[in-house]
Amino acid sequence: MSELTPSGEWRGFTIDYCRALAAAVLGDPTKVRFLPTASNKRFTILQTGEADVLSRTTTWTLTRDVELGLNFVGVFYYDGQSFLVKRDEGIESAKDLDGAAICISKGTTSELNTADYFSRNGLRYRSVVYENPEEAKLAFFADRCDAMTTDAFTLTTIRLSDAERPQDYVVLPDYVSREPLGPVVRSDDEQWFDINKWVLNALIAAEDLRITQANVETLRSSSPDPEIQRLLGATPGFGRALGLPETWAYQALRAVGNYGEIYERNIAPLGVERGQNQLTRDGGLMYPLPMR
Amino acid sequence: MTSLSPRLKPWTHRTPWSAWALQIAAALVVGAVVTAIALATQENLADRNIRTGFDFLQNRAGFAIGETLFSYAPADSFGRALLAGLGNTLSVSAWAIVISTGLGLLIGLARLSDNALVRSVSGAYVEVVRNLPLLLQLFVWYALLLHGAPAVATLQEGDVGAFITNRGAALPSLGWEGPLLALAAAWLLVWSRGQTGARRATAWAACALLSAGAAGLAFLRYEAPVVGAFEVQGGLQLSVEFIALVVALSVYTSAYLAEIVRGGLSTVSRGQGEAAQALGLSAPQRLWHVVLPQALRIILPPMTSWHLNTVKNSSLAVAIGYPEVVSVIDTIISQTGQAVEGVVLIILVFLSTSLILSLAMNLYARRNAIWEPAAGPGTSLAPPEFHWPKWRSHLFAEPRQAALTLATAALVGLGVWAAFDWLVLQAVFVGDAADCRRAAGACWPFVQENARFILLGSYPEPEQWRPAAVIVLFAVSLLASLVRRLWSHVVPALWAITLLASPWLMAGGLGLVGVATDKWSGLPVTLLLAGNAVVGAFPLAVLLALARRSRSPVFRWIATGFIEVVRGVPLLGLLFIAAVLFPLLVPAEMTINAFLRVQIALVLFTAAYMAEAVRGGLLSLNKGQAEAGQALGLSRWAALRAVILPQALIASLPSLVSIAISEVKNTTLVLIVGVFDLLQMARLAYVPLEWRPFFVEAYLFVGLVYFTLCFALSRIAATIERAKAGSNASISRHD
Repeated sequence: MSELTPSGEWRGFTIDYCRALAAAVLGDPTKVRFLPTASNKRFTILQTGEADVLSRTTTWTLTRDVELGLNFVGVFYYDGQSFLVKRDEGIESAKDLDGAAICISKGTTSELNTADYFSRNGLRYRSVVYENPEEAKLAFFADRCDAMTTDAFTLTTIRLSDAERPQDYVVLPDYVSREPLGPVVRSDDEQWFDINKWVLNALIAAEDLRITQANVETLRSSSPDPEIQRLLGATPGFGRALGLPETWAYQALRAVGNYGEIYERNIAPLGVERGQNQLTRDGGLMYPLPMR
Repeated sequence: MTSLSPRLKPWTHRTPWSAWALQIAAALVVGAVVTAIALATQENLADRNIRTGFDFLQNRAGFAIGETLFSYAPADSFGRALLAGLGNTLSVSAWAIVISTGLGLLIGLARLSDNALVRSVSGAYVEVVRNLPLLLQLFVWYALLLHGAPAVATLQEGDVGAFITNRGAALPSLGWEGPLLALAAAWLLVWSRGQTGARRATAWAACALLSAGAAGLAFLRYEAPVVGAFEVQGGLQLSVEFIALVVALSVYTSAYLAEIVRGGLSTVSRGQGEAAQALGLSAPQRLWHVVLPQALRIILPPMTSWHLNTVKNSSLAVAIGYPEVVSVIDTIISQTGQAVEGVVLIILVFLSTSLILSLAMNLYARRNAIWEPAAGPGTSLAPPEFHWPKWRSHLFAEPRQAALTLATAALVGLGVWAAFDWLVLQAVFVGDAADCRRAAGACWPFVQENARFILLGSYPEPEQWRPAAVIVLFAVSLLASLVRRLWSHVVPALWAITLLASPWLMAGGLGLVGVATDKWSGLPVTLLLAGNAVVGAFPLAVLLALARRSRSPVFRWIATGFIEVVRGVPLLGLLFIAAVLFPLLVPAEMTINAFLRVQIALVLFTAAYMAEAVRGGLLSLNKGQAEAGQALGLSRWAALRAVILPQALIASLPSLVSIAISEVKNTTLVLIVGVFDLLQMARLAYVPLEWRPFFVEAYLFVGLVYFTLCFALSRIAATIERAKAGSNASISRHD
């Protein structure tokens, strides 16, 4: 959900979260330094203090939350693990993959989920594990494996942008697991944890309150809605409670827009339906906590 | 210490208590540093709520391992997963050791052949293989097998037999009991040739019985592979990762073993071979019974250390996804978060393997009355003394030679023609990716489009003249070092400028725009890492070498401990420790960026090896030199500075340069810990869809760069050797 453009600039869904955070805390969305890491190093880099927040496709699990000295801030994308296969193999669901070779990248929940799924259903597979997703991808397209597995979102982007002929491949519709993705911080800083949690929620709440990047300026000065006033700092209080300037949410929304806009900008162009990631009032799982 | 080491006589003007005070101070300092690190680590781990202890080894692993020697399932414990990984490491290493020894012997013999063509071809093989990084060769073999062998989809489901696909080889399996019995039978047969009478008959009978048993068991356990819905099932399965790793390790090590064998064989007096011939022994018999056993004295020690290297080099498997022990421990660390324990496990595994292997080799050497040569590890093997036969005289001298020449010429000719065809005749020189796909030859536009990206990486565009300048500086310094006349003033000045200016050019400050280290990538990273490692390690290496030979046990133990631990662990393990553990080991206030950590790890690694080379130089020194210094009234340090060190360093110079060559190749490993060196940029260049088929061009391009670098350094080493041999310096090993 992030990429480095040729001009050296980082772009993407998870990038926008970081920019919102920077805008809320430091007033400037460009005051972020991005550290690209391999899957199996991402927690260590956060644990050792080299990074302050881990914003990538990291699944929220009990073990990670409890045993690594980290805390998950919330969910910014509801995903599920699935498989990318060749269309002409005639595979309809994951249960047809008995005896297949599956390319996985190391240190991910996909590795563990696949093992669990196959043993639960009494199926066998050969696990071919690579250091990072690029290697797994290249190996899959070189026909080293019959299937590739990771979050459905990542598989869709891979199918569309990395396959020679995208129509030859298909992402299996059934999810093998639930993959709630969200940002992660260390558990030794309560205030930083709260800030992250409520910046994320502010983005979602803003969409619920129909605050957009375009109208945030006017709404801040002229909206009659008390919740909007509290959120955007027209009514002071939240900023002081969090230890931030009162304009924290206003700055964040001005920088990247609300959750829906972030989604439209980064994910909609890839053709991925919002589905579970809609607001609850639209039938999805994005439930904005009350800004009060 | 052997009895030949020049022990420096105690200088009597040093008072006893000052010596003791120094040792106690050193011990206290080391103790303090270690305690500080331990306390800081504890505090950091507690702060971050990371668990400690090794109980996690009993927990359920939850992840699958693609191939194992014994049965393993995700429901097994982490401990069992660790053992599975260890089994994989040992099996790959064992195969690689056996094959590389055989291959090395063959090529070493080819290097000594009377046939000039065979000599040159094998010489070219050795030069090319030794001057390319192992990781690069591993990637190339893996890519060739992955894209060159047919896909499983081309096979017919239900077919039975032996198959080679791009996922590996599936061969009919005979189980392990049958071959074991057959091996026992064969051994009995060989043994029985030295026996007579009833013993011989019994041995033959036992042999026949064992063979029958072997055949029966093999028949019972026979399993032929069957093509299944997705993969080939059953039989003996060798994954493509396993094959690529074994091939790459064997080829790489064989080039070094070939030179060791060549050196060893050529030290055996020619008269031995001639006497054996006069006795009527055939050429193979001459070699096996007369020449080789005598050469073994010289061959065995370096060969042992190369076998240990093979075990350590197997850790590179992480890069292609073969589940050996470092890879498994890596997964365990990322699943449990316990990096410190994981790293301790890596160190334990490799140190114990090195220990066991060297003990075994020492035992073999002692039983066969093979002893280490008088020279220490720092001396290099001199080229053979006798005169090579004239070029043409032996090529067609007799029918057998002529056949050999023609066969070699045919093979070489075919290879050269195929390469020329691909590189020039069918290649695309102008155009874009689409044109390249249509053609069958090399895609030169790939190199043209991506050369800047591969060489300079993601350095900000307006400042890219700076990394380019760094490359030019290094190139000029290297070229100048090849010219002997410039050695006295120009070369040191050039290198000083290069090594001082390069960090400034890359990082910025003092008038240049600052560029953070995470933007540094490509060739400048390789050059900087290698150059700084060599220069930074040198003073440390001299200190370590002197400390290791010091009289005081404290210094000796510290130095020996450091050197042995660092040399026993693969560089990958050390890089991992540096990149990931460093911040845990120091107080939270200190932060060191990734590039610097990797640089420090490389410096420490290089220092340990250089220390051994310097120690070898010190050992090779004539005892009389130190005594002469003492007789002249020089103090210990003055004698060291003026007399001993200069000579020792000159003696160890060739080894030091070859360590520099190794460091250039070792920099490729940093891509595994996320530093973007030249090799990684090449791999990134063919990730985009349009350039994906052209990985061969990418590897060829960077291979050429590495080869040029390493070859230039080896020519410098050769020039140094000639200078040493030419000047009648006082480095004489004959008292």
